Amino acid sequence: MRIDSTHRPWLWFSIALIAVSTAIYIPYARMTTPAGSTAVGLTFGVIALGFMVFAALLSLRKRYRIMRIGSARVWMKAHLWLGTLALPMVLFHAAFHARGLLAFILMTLTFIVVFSGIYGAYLQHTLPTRMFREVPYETIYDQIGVIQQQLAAEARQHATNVTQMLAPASGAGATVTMTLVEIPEYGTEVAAFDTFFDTRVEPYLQAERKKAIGMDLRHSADAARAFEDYRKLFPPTAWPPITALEDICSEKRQLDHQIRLHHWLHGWLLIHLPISAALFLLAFIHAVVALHY
Amino acid sequence: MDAQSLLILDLEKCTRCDQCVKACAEAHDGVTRLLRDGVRFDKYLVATSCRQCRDPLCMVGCPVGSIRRRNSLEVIIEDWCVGCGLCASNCPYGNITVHEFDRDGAGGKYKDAGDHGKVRKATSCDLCHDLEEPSCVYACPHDAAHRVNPTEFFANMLGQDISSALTTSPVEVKR
Repeated sequence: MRIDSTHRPWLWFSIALIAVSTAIYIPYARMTTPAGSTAVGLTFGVIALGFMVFAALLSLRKRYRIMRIGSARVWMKAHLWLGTLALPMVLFHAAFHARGLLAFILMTLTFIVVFSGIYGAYLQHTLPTRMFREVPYETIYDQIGVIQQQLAAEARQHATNVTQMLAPASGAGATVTMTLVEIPEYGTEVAAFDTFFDTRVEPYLQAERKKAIGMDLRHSADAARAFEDYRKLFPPTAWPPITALEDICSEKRQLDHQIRLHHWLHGWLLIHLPISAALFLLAFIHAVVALHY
Repeated sequence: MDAQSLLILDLEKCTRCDQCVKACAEAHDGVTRLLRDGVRFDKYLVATSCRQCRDPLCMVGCPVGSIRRRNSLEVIIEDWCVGCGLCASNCPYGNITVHEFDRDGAGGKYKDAGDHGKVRKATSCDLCHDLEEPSCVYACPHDAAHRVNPTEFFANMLGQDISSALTTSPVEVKR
């Protein structure tokens, strides 16, 4: 979610909550030894747990997408801000100390969850713009494999066009043509182009993103140089299919870049979600144990 | 054909999570009525979804009169659609598709030719007309999906009032 001016009310609410909490905590800490078991400490703990519960409910809200319980954008904003506010509330609750193993684990998990969430929010704030600007050929993520196959087939067609266009004349009438007009021979160059296509272009187009990392056509400057070399070797009639091949390689490069950005956009959830679940579970155990004993 | 309502996605906000597509499918018997692909205008993607044309070509020639307006903006395909696909081929934007649905478990919704087996129906965005906000927009957690009046939206974007410019004569513009 993009952090823009629509978040201003939440920002003011957060500042106010932290200010009020600090104003309560400082005299309380001066009067007595602060701890989670005191009335003030418990209040902070209950608020922190409430924020965590609400933040966790976003996953349920996303599962029941069409249920009319508030729009997803409002839930997401609340998730971002209340989830972040859970951290200062936990710190006030624990009096900035982690006493005991469970408390230490809980504190550590809270830090990881909140900071992974902030990192995720940063990625979701910046990466969509990068995707929009750097991947003009962007497509639906699940379709990338299909499009890659189509690109490879299209490239094969363009390569065939180049070789057929420049192949030495053959068949009936070839001898007559060759004696009437002086046609330059491109046999060696065409063979080199075929090898270039078979060993570098086609494997690159068919390679998955990780395998393509070591290939020279992955770099736009190297690719431009390679295709320019063949344009210099061949007559202008062969340039359009060579340029089309270069464009196909460029599209493949963009699709790989899209995959990379997509993984960045959603990959952080692999840390955020399981640790949030663990935190949620342990926080409940902590609350039950603390209230019972 | 002037579009009256466009589904646009702000590509600087959209995280490509597909919640809009999934919500649309959930709201319409498992078949989405929008495709997160289409023409781009600056940072906005005009999703492939019904534009609610002012003068809809899709309504022309429906043999059973199932595609129509109910005195409102949205073009509705009624349950008695026979799935001939004429509206789909008439739509210049490819925003209508024909799908097969199971009669079983549909709660007697498709009664045209029996209670069992498959039935073909045309589907197109109905703006979730019985709800306050279309499901795709409602389910977008990133505030990226919006249904907009294109004239007003793009006029605001370009910083000018297109509707008044359209109604103003060239002489008046000169003055």
